[in-house]
Amino acid sequence: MKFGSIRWQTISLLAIILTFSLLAGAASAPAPSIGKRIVVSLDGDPPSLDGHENALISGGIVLPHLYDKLVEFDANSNIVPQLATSWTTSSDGLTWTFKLRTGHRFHDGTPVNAAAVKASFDRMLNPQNPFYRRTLFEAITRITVVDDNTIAFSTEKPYGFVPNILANPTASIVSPTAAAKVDFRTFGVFPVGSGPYFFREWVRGTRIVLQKNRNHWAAANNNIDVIEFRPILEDSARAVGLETGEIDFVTSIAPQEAKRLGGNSRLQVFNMPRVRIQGVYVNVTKRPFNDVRVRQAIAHAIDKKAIVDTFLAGFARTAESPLPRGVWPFKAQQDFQYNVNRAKQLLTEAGFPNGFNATMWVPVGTYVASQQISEAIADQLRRVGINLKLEVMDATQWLTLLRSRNQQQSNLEMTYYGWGTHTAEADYALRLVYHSDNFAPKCCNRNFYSNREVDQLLDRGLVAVNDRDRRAAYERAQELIWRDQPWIYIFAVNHAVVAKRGFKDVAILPVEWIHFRDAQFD
Amino acid sequence: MLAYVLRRLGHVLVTLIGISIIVFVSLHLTPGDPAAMLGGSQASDEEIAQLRKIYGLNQPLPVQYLSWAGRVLHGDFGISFRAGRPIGPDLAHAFPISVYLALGGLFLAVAIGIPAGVLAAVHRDRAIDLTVMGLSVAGMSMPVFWISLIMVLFFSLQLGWLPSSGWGEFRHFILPAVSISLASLALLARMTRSMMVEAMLEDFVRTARAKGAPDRSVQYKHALRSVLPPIVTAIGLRFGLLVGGAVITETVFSVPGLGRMVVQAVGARDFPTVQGGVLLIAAAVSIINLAVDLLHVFVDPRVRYT
Repeated sequence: MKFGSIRWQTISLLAIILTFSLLAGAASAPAPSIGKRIVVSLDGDPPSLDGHENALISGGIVLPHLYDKLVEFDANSNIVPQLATSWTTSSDGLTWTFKLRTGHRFHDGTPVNAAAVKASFDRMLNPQNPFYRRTLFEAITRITVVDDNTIAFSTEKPYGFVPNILANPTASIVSPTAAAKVDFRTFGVFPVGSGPYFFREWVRGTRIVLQKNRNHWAAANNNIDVIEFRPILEDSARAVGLETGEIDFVTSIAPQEAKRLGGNSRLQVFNMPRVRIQGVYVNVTKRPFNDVRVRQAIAHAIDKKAIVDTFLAGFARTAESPLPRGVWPFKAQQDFQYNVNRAKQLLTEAGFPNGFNATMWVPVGTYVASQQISEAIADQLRRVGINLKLEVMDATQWLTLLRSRNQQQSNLEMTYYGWGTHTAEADYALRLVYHSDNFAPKCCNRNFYSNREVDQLLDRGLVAVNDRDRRAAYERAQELIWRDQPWIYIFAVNHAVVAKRGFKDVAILPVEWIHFRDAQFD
Repeated sequence: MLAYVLRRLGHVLVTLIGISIIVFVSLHLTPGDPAAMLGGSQASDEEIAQLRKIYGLNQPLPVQYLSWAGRVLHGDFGISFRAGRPIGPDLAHAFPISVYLALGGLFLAVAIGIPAGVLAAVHRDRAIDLTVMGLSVAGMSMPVFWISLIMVLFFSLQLGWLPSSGWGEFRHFILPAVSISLASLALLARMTRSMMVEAMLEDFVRTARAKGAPDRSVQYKHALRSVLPPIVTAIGLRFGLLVGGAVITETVFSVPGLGRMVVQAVGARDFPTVQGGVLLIAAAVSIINLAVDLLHVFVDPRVRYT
């Protein structure tokens, strides 16, 4: 190689010119996304599009388009028909019978009948298969094909929330013929359902494209032909995408960004309720948190409204009950109003007139603004003499600390914490978290709250056959838990969704998934 | 030469084994159970035990490592904890994207940085020199995250020329490539300048001048040529850095490259993806370093490998 014979300067000049001409040549306006194609951002690339495997919200937003379920939630968390057109309960409350829509087919042509629906559930519930979310369905003991268009679900004890669990994305109905042909992993990448959109393309980390299924019974309900989902990890990148017009619909964004984008006349902001409650979770077996007056004092010492306004830009609602609105049967409770004097008085009564020191875990990356909110809480509690040491940690480390220890080993004093109820009913929201049968590590009572009366009410609500008895049990349980404040409930989070103007009837559900099955876009 | 290459490849292999063990051990030492993350906050103990079994996390560590290493030797990178799917195809998708981006960034850095450095050295202490050096300080000290967002605001939002995110077409490639090139560009410009300034004072340059060689020929044929070896080494090192280190750029511009994939996987404790991704990056860096050393034969006539 002879360097000397080459005119290096000319070459580098050419390279510079070439670079800039490429820069200029590539400069073209972004393709307009008018008409029947929409671009929707996701927070991340879903791990899989297998309806049975999903656990993450990013997947939960794609799945309702690919798959039908027997039933679905509406905007008020009521159960509405989907594949099932009607359903009945036997008088003993042990059998739920669903009538199926006739003549519908999966995207591969397989008829959607009772046998296919049963095959789909058998696949999800089979312990040999790697779908760990099946424990949500453990109340169901038998699934029976009654006739071609009728399917029955049996439980050992009455379980009033069968339709609620069947409305969960994990209960998506997959094509049994397509699923039998390939292994689980392949099916997760080439999913086949019966939903209003079929799968067209998945370019890893870049886009998932779905195409309208014109044979779907609900095809006429919306005017969107193609949905392109794009994983965009950064809030600011999603915001710019909306502003440049590259993105039509952002399924979630930081509340502050949503507020700012609300000032843009070409955009619309949706501030919609979700079934997720946030607060400070305390180990009720450890001193001083074992005294209910201390917990109530903390509740009085936190200015919840200020937190909602400042860190959530109004995309939340101060907590009104251990249940968020949108979980049946929500009942608003008497607020522990922000009152520093009352807090100090309660602390004095409990024997801590000068407050105390405690450690609070702060997970980052799981909850909106968890670190800023925790710092604000620490500031507010300092005013009543409670000095918090904040231990900030990543979500995985935090979850491991939280879940794996039993009462004797647990190091938990306080943590910033949240709980979402994707079934929109009180059993999931309360029994797992507050029943003393569910102490960690078994499940999710990780602050070891134990109230015999609450346990009994939760047991009674679970097996009650009629809605009135169940409602009574859960309303009373909410009261008792609220008074005990095993968490200091701060707020219920809202969806912060921003879209181009022109979207109508997008389902932004309290149960946290979002779909365009009945949406219009002009 | 061949013997030398083979010996170096042997070193690469040892390095990779060492790195894979370090990555494996440090992942397992990091607090946090991958099954706990996968299950989420609402999973029961039973669900977590199930997950641990599915992913073989219930086996002793040496068994886990050896079975992973054995599979990698057969070209199988294992199953991603998070996606439940073989990692191989995902790595094969993400790796070329990172390489492509790194090459683009490096091309800009070399094509602009080296001539700019030469120009600054030749016009030492004059306006051009001060401008180039000022810009290079800015290029090195501006955080990638910030300059990326500024470019997005200007070129995507204000002018509407380039897309703010995505991947697949050439126009998606420009902003990320510029973003990752800046620091390397600035570094190469500074390095070229300072070495050129010294070289221009050397006897052989004076000789070239004295014999009447034209200025450009003196600058590029004689002076630049003499300082190329360390610059080529620097380019090689930068390339390794860019392949694995474009995480911020990849995140801001939603580029589905390897860096972003590995960082996300660390957060989710997706061990096989981290191990596979880091191994690939390490292999790329080692091979590039080897290639750069071999390249010295061409840029420095004194170098002979035997």
